[in-house]
Amino acid sequence: MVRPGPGCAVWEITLRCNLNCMHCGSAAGKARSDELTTDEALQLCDDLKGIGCQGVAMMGGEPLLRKDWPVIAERVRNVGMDLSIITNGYKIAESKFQQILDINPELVTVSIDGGHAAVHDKIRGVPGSFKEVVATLRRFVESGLPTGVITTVHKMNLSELPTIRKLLLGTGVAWQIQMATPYGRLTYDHVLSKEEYYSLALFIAATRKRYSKKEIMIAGAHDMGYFSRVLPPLQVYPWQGCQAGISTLGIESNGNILGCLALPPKFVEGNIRERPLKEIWNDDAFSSYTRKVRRTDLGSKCASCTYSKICKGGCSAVSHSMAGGLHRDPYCLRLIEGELKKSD
Amino acid sequence: MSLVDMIPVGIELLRLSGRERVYAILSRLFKAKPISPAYRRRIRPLGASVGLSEAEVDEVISGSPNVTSLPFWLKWVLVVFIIIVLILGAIGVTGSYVPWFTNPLYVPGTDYASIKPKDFL
Repeated sequence: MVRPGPGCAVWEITLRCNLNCMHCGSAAGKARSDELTTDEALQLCDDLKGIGCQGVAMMGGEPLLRKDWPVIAERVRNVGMDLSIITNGYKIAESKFQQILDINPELVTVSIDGGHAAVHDKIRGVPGSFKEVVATLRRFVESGLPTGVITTVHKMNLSELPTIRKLLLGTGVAWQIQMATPYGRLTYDHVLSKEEYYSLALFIAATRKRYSKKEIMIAGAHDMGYFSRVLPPLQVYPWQGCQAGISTLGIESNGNILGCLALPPKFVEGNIRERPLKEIWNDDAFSSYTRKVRRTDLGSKCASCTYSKICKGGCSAVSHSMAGGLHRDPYCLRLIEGELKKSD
Repeated sequence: MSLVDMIPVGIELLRLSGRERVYAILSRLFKAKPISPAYRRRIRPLGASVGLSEAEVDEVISGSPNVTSLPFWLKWVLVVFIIIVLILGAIGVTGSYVPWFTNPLYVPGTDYASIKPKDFL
């Protein structure tokens, strides 16, 4: 069966990184020894277009450290896919900045994890990285490129959100907030508690309420939901269940394919060096954990929820890391509200 | 995401949220407020850790989702549509419109960095 292509392939073009973030889900630093060659990467661009993929989010590691990134980016654009670039914003030389402007991606995103230099630098593992990323953000905004900011929240930076908001107010960037999950370098003791997670949701909701979209555009990412009884929606579009292997696709720098790059290595379901992408994507068994969900796959609390059929148990990455199985995401606003109510 | 995919999901969301709305109205009729003072007191401190005042938390948990960006006529179309769905739901004509096996094409904002400024417009 030929499936419709993913809306967005999230592609780690290299694992090499010049920062050392404590929450990095892929523990990036050194490049993999077997990363795709330029020719293989260009072929992959064509193959993605071949399966009907609509866009590519180029990330890493730090994608701009891969020497041939402009060649890959240009191919993505030339075959007619949208391109977004996710960079840590650190040490972007003028020549590199100019290359980004020339390629003119649909979106360029930088990561800001603290409102104060001390916090951001500590999280990112490199002194001076805050100053650099703020300068990079300003350059992107002033250039007129559609710009996004991602903040990954854990215990160390939850209280930083109001300061980051102050920094972003009036800049016109899209601010995406996501919860850090304990993969890669992040340890469990830094993961938000459920109550802290609810605080984060309150912050997003209150910011959406207090400020107009002209002042700030803020949204929760895929792991910020779902179907709260109390709060207005936090995401830009209604949640429809985990989209791993449905509208998104994860690609590791060595050609490994998985439904979503947020998931750990055990979810790798093929490699483009061994099997054509088209075959992997159209394989009936690929990403069956999201494509073929049944009520019996859901955890008991999720199965009894009114929204079970749409939600299908929340984010797979959070569910797997925090509950030990899929379709039972314990970081669910509706679920937490029930627990808060019971504890009254 | 195609319009064809949106229709059943939209109907399902309306059906489910409509059911909750009816429940909330009935609760109010029977003087049972959806958010009790005790529950409110439980949630307020959670906002303090992200710099929110009690008033800000109260505002966000008391209000309904912000739909002020919808044009006036569309609000009325939605109201009429919701009423029809509620009536159909009440008389048991509607079932769930969403099969367990769905094949949605694209949901922006469900993966890393796909949220663009234009998605908010």
